Amino acid sequence: MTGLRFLVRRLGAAVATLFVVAVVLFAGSEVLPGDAASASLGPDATLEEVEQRRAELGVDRPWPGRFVEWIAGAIRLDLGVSSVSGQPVVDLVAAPLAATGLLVAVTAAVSVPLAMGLGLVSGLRRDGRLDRTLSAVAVVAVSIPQFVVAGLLVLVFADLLPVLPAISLPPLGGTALDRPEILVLPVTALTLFGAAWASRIVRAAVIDADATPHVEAARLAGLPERVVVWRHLLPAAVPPCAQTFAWLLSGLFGGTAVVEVVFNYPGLSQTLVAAVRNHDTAVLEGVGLLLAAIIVVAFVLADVVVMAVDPRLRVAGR
Amino acid sequence: MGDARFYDRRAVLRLGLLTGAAVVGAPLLAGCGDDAEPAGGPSGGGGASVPSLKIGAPHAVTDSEAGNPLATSIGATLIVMRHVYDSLMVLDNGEYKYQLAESVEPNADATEWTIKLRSGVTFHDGRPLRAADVVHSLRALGTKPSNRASVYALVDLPKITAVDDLTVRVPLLAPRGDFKEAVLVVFSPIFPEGLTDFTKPIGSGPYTLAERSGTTTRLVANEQYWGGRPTVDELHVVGILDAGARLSALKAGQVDYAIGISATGARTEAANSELVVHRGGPANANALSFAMNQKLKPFDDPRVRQAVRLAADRQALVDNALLGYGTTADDVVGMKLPGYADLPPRARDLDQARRLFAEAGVTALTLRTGEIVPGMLNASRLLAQQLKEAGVELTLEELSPDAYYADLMTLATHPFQAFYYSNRPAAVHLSAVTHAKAPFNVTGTSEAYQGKLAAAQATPDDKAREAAFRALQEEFYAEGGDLLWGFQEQLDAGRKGIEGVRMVQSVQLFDRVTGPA
Repeated sequence: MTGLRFLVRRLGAAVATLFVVAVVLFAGSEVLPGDAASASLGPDATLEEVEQRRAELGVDRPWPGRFVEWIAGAIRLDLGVSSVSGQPVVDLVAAPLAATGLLVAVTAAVSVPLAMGLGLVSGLRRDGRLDRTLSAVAVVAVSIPQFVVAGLLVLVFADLLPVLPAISLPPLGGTALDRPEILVLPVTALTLFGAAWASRIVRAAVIDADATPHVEAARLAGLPERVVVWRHLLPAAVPPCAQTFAWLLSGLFGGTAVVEVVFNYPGLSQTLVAAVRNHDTAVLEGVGLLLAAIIVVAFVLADVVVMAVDPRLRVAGR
Repeated sequence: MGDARFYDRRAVLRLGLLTGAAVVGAPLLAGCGDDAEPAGGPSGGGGASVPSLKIGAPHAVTDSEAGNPLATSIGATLIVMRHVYDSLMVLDNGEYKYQLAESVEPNADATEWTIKLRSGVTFHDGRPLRAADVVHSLRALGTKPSNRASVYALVDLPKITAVDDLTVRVPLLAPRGDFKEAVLVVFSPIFPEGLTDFTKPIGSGPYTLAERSGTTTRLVANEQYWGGRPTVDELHVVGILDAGARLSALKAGQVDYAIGISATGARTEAANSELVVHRGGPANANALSFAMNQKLKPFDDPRVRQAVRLAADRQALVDNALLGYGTTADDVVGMKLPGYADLPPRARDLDQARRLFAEAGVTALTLRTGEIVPGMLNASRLLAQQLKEAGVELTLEELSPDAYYADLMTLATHPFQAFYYSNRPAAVHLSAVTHAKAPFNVTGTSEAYQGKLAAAQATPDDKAREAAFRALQEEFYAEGGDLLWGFQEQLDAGRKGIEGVRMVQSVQLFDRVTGPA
């Protein structure tokens, strides 16, 4: 299989995945009790008023037509209009999505090198004192629920040692980048879990790579350990690590909600809570699809990285 | 102004309120309120005026809700709305007061009401308040997409007329003696004729909406306010979803006042000398109930309803489920508010409860419940223990808060369920919740009762109407379907020295706040 064919197959799978996600999201909205029409009118609305509102929102039409319209719109990056505010969903979620994206990006920028470093050190010193210590710390960090970690961080760094803000409040008219200190605690909370979890997988990948014949051959050939690690062992460990970091990224996009709530970070969680409250299905479906797309792209990129470092994927089938 | 003795009514529990409270679990979402009459001048205990005050409030103000009285729902949006707009009438400190209205008088049979307006009031853009503005506002408030349109259901909207510059005539579709408390006090913000773009709101209130960014809304004092210049130059209303985060932000100095903290938070911070916990008292509270539907078995038997009410230990429920931040209730909504019948405290009587259960042949019950307000599940579990002592096994059917109100049309089909109301004047509560078509008529009131309710509402004479509603409360106390066990107080916290926050129908007003001298 050539690299191109590999890529095309992966892209095809990505599109199919997104389609399935779209079906699930749409079906989920359909079967949930209540709808945007009755939610926006309140409990005193008459049946006629609800029907009229349903017609205005277009939710009275049969679902196949609406689904096709929604998908066709999504392809053009038109995710419909919020039933509450009347704004396009894309406009409505742009700022919160960017804020969550920033949080995820900073967390990834800290977590990935940290996890690589810790995993590498642990893997190379397998079963040593440092490895056992790091393993124990990682298990603890992964086991504590995020809201507890976040709460402890607030207690220590905002309450007992008041050095950092307790909530992430950007300046009026600005973003988190205008007041970077508000990112510190949310990023720390997310990194503790993310880096600890990913470092365990990096460690395992390093141990596996260390046991491969070509690494062993490099050592037997008398190459310096630095060269063995950087030229032979690390490239062999990249494929599983790339997948791991794609998982990490997707986990962060889907899992920042708790941290965003504790720190009142102005990300997607607030938009989602408001959308759930108002049965704003257009926003819920749109955000779901956007997140799914981001996650799928992350995995495709991971595949590209794997392809780049694994010659077998580039030449196989020739 | 103090001569107006009417019933207030907080707005009908809205869907937004219900689901919002359910999702977020904040106890303070209990309805809406209206500004108090601006008395002019600070009343905050001799402190200094404040250049800027940051307020942490549940829910962020959204673009579509900010400054739009037709879309106001809950939390921070109400606070913004109440500071930007004045209303015709309000409930302040348990009293009905005129705000933009100077008088509101009925004709002989209460089918037509005449509103005389205060003179000398100007909107933020300098235009004077005129009768035409009131006509426009009332029609807009009473018409969809206004989410308070139902409040105006009894008003003949097209026939509202401006008699002269400061007089408005409001005809009703049927006689209603309770027009002031059932309509004007509930929701009557006034905006100028022709205002349709509520992203640039124009009211006559003590603040103007200057800016909205992210979760923060900035309000600036209206220097020309007819009620006197506000003592706080700028208000920053910051939407903070989580009650714990609001308290953390207050402790870290990021906000000066946190609206809605948990009972646990209040207890933890009780000894903190830097903070002051503000308790709303029963007048600003959720009324918590285990509602029995009188139309459904076994609660169609009055003995069963009475037995359940006698088996409950209300003080234990308040102490345990609300950590003491509440007051015991006696089955009728409206304590500490106008028109409350002041019924005798309902004492626990296990022997009587056992006897009544035995007579009715009831040994097991099922309660639909969920954490619809903080503490409700604990209260339900405690009720199960208390009923067991009376010989009845209570099974709890637990639902998640967001599923609890998913289908409003079936709410009144459950025999026994945990429920909460806004504590509002009894007459207003009974009118809004216990009539035949109310989705929240979860106690299944009888047709005879509803006939008496309609007659009470139509009574033009204030005293006679109050007496009629008192009789309805007594009937509800004796035979109604609520085991209303506690008032869950609004709990806020503020920086030490911040004084003068007014609580008006569960909405905080900051225009007369003073800071440390």
